Amino acid sequence: MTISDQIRTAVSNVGRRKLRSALASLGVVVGTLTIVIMVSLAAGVRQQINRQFASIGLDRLTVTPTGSGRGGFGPPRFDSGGFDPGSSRKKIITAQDVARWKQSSGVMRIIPEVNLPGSVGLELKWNGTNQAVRMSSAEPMGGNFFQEPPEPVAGSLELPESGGIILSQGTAQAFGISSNDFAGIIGRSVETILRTSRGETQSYPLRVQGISQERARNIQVSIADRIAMKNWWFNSTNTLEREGYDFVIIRSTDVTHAIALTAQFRKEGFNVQSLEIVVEVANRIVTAITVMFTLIGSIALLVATIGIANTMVMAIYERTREIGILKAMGASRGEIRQMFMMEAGCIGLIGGVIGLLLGWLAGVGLNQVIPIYLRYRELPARGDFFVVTPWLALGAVLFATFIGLVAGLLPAQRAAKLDPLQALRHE
Amino acid sequence: MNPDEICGLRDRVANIALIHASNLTRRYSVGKTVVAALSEVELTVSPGEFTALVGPSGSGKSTLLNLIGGLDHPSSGEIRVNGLSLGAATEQELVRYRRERVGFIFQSFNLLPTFTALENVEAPLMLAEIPPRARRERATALLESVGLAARIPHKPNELSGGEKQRVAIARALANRPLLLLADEPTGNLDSKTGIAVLDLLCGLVKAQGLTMIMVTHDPEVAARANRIIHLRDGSVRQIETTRPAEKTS
Repeated sequence: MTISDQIRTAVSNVGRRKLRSALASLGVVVGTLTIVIMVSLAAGVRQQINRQFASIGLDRLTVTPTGSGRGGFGPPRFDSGGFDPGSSRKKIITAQDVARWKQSSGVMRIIPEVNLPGSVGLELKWNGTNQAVRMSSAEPMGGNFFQEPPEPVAGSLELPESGGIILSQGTAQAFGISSNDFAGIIGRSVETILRTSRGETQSYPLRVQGISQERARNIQVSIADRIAMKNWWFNSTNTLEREGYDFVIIRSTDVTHAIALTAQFRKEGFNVQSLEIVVEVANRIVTAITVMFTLIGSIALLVATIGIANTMVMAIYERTREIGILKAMGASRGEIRQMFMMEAGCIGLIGGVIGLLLGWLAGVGLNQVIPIYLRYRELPARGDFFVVTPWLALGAVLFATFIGLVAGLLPAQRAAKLDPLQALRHE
Repeated sequence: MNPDEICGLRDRVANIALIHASNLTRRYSVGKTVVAALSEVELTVSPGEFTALVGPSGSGKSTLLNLIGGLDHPSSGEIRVNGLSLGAATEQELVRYRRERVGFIFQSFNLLPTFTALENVEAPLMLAEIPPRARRERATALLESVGLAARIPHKPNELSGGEKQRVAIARALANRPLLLLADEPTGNLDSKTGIAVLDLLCGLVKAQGLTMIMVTHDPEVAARANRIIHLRDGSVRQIETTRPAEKTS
């Protein structure tokens, strides 16, 4: 008997006892439904968690050179005590590294940083008055993972490669500029002056790009100018070549990529700070919940096997004589066994498909309802809570079919072993 | 005749015979008692022969037929059909034997109730893995040859007894067997229908040169056979040669 004939026979045999087959597959429907809803919920929750984490900065990582003596959470601070010229660095971050990372998949934005020593005297000259200011990191978020990105008060907080400066609100106010006039100074040139303790000065004219919300008297300066300032300070021309960048902030496209990138940079021998641990723990919790839910659904499916097995035992009892006829015509034990296995598998498959469809529909419905409820409760949520992936769909249907086959195994084995003569005498 | 010559003769007979049974015994255990349904039966059937098995109930007719059909196993002795020793054959060999060599016709028709007449005739062809189109053609031709062209799409419960038995005949012939085994094929039919079915069966068997063994109660049915074997209490009591095989009508 060919496979296609067996399938056709099995389908027609299942179809001839519609009600009983439907009742037998009901258990599979419930089991598959449970699994599909639970697993799609887990997948949706995982996405929600990743999205929430991304919005609080878990998609960011900070790469620092090895042996720089700076660790801990977040990027090193500009004013963290005495300056280490970097001679002890074992592995520096070169411009080539940064260029290469820019091409890596999952990198959305890359910000290389160079610090000025804490002892640098920094002044800003505007309209003939000088004010002492401090240099802050070019990254607007300043490295705080949980801080919301600052909004510009005026202009933009994006710095060009060179020649740009961002003033804090506090700095602008120190020059007596009222908040009404902030917009007027965007695009204007200011002088940034470096002053050594011996009184030597160097001036850098820079164009104002924007004004940040910060109250402290801070400025942010384009990376190329910071490198130039550092070179002047150390009376050198190649501080970048010798010491590399002090740190690089990378924003990845999503949390998954952030974890992969962290691993990649570590392998290359750099220090990486990211909140991957938090993400990993959260993912582990979601995985545990998924496994638990799947187990519950699997138990439902196992119970369903009893229903299918019972149906098959009944069917075989009723069709004992037919089995005898088939054997007399030259059906082998294997063919009889496969025939009934296929029938049982067919019941499982039907139950699986119906369960999958119902689970998917339930998910689609709840995806519509839950955001409405959350909005009513004023809770932030975006995206779906139930996500049926192709793998889940395929896995659920295959598993249901497998359950059917398992349920059919023993009854089919019994049918195969029937003595043809006794089967033919069966009334 | 010395024993060697006897053995040589027996071998020659066994070689030309389609069926050769010697010392064939079948015992059943009923509780603690052992009942011999068939004991030490000697039987030789030549190709193209029509043999009738007659005898009262419990004489072992059906047991002998089932042993020849490979549905039952001998307790001792040997039965050889077309060179295959059925007692020693593997399950796989028996499956092939039933599928390719034997066609069964039963008293109670034994059609598959959910299959149409056509599908019933197709069933053995399906087991033999004949492609759907070829088997449809063959089954249709067979149903036409038993005069059921008009009943092809009908299920067994829509057919009369005579029609059912005709479907069963067509089904038995589907895989071009060497041997037809019929267990009281007219037992459930009225005499007129029975005669018509028998005429059809004998005609097809003769036309195709098949060997047929038929269990029957009916002396008139038995009278059509080339030989009548009388069984009683599991033993052959008498072998009656009614007419030579060539003149089967």
